[in-house]
Amino acid sequence: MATIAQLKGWDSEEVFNVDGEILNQFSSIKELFGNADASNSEPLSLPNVSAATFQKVIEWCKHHKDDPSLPPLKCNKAISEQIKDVSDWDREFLHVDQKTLCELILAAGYLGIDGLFRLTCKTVADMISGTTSDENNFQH
Amino acid sequence: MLLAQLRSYDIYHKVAAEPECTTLCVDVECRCRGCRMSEEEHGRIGEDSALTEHVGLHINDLPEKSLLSVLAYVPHRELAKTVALVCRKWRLLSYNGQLWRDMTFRAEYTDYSVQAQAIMALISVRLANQLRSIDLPCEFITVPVVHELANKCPGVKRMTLDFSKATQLYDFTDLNSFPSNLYSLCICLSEVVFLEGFMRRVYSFLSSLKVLHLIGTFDLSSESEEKFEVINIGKIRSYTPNLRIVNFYGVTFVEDSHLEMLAASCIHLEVLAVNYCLQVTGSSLKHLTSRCKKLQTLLLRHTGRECCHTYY
Repeated sequence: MATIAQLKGWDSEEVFNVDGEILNQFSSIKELFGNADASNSEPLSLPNVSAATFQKVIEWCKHHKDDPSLPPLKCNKAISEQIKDVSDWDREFLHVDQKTLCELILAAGYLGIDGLFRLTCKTVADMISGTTSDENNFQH
Repeated sequence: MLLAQLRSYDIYHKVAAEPECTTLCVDVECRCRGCRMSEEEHGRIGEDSALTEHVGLHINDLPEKSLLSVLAYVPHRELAKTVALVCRKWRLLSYNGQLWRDMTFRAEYTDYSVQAQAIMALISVRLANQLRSIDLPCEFITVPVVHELANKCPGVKRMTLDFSKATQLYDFTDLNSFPSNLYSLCICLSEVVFLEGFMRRVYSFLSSLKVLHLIGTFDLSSESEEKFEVINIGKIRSYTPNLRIVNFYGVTFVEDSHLEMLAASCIHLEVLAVNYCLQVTGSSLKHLTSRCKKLQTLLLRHTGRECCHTYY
């Protein structure tokens, strides 16, 4: 698919060419780009996303590009019931250190990738649930 | 132009507004400056390694909104017993009303166990205005608790009252208020406890109800036992003219005559489910469809009638 957006992280000059399928998952910024071919315009810098994180985000989006769109969270159901079991691929994907996980949350929230945002939040929540307050203190 | 638009989406100022953690200050400063600068300037700084030296992002550096999304996945028990003890910031976060909107107190569905005395304080202090849905086991359904809910939680929309384990009903003669803005009410019936003593006090608060679930005690082994009409459907329906969805699940005493009564007063009915109600034979369906023109879905699994699903 043709490149329709050029984006880069805040910390490097590396430019990522993003096609429509991926861009569609970035719900908060996709409206900025029309359907026009933007391959020769100036690349956009994303203030909250580092190049390394963006690389991971794109990897996730490529793997999940055919997922059906998520239903909105319903308030009459416990929120933890609403996320399905984490797939093996995702578990492997999120097997990273805390810092990367936090960056992914920030990036997913900023770019509006609902699926990744929920997944990363759930992962961190599971880490919190498994520890005591003293251990949490230690991580501080 | 594009860049300007992109910046308007910037949620980063939320972090910048509360840089509590000193280790991140370099990071925040650099990035925020980066956002405000032109592409060129940012590029130049990018080459200057001293300024962009990347200090690891820490969980505390996430915006409050993201942290709340994270904590939304943490069970209530953990929120109260561990997360709240970490530090002041986390304590405030973990008691944020947004995380306490949907409460369940039934031991089968939660490991957040509450003492009967504590529930009053919990309702009036932590839940109060934020509460949207609540479910209560029979031991918590008492006059003071219901009064507290009615007075302190005006926003409560969904309520589940589980009488299925009740052996006898408390005395409700003093009950004179009940949440009056309910959208949905679910009552889990007991086989032997008659609920009229409770229902009599709350009928007049049910007019806003759109969804009604009655969960019965259907059990294959006890099919032949005597059935008590533990709740008066004829009375409920006359106080709930706005019902859209009615679900009787395994209510052993429900018959076609009850459905006819329902049809007579609830003409807005859109969905009717009478799964596992063995006494329903279908003789009321003609009357029902002619009265309730908005009816779209009828679920009749394992009833006295043979067809499974009928959609109009």
